[in-house]
Amino acid sequence: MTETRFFPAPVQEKAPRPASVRASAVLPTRVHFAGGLTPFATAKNFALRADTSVAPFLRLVCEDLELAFVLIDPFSLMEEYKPEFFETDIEELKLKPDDKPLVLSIVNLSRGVEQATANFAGPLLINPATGEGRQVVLVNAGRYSVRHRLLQS
Amino acid sequence: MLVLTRKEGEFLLLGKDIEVRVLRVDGDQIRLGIVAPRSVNIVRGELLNEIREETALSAKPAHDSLENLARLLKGATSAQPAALGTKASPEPVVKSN
Repeated sequence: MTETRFFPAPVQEKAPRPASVRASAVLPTRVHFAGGLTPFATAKNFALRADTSVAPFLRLVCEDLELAFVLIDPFSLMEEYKPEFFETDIEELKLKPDDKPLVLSIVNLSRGVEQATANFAGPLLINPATGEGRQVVLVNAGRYSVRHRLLQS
Repeated sequence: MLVLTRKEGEFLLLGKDIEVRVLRVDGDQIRLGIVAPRSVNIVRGELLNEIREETALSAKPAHDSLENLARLLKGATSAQPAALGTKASPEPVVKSN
């Protein structure tokens, strides 16, 4: 599978993170959602595009239906974001304890640019090695908003 | 749909290992206790509906809105020391019961 570099390296952070945490993630160019993407059950095959003109956003373009989504890395918006995943979701994606999954939030632009939000409670969980993904509900979904504002008013 | 009536303290068994117990009934609120293996996802119905609705609204975004938002977001965060998209994702956290 061809891969695109996602985050620019090196990463400068205020507090040093453990060495096991990646400094730069590798993005798969295609993602397969076996269960579809709620409420679009037949939307399974997607191209993931990192176009610099719309950075830091990513585009998820469906190959089955006329459908596209805008995604953003939730950690870039909320440093203290700590998503907890259900074991079934981790198993379904064949993620092992040392794997570093890709977590991306779907952006909602339908209420206008100024009102743009990202879904922090039900993000996309992706195994970057296999390109398999799932829209999940976090175990600790109650701590995060389905509509996290991108711009402070 | 199977419909059952239960009283406070009574419970149901779903399959071999999922127990749903009615702990307390207080007006229009019912407090449930659920015992289930870690492999079972337990999610509030309205949250699922909200996520479904939000995903439907997020489909087919207009490209020019996205370019505008990217510009606005860069402007809003340029004063902060950490650039966007440079945070590393943490390890997956498995639900602990």
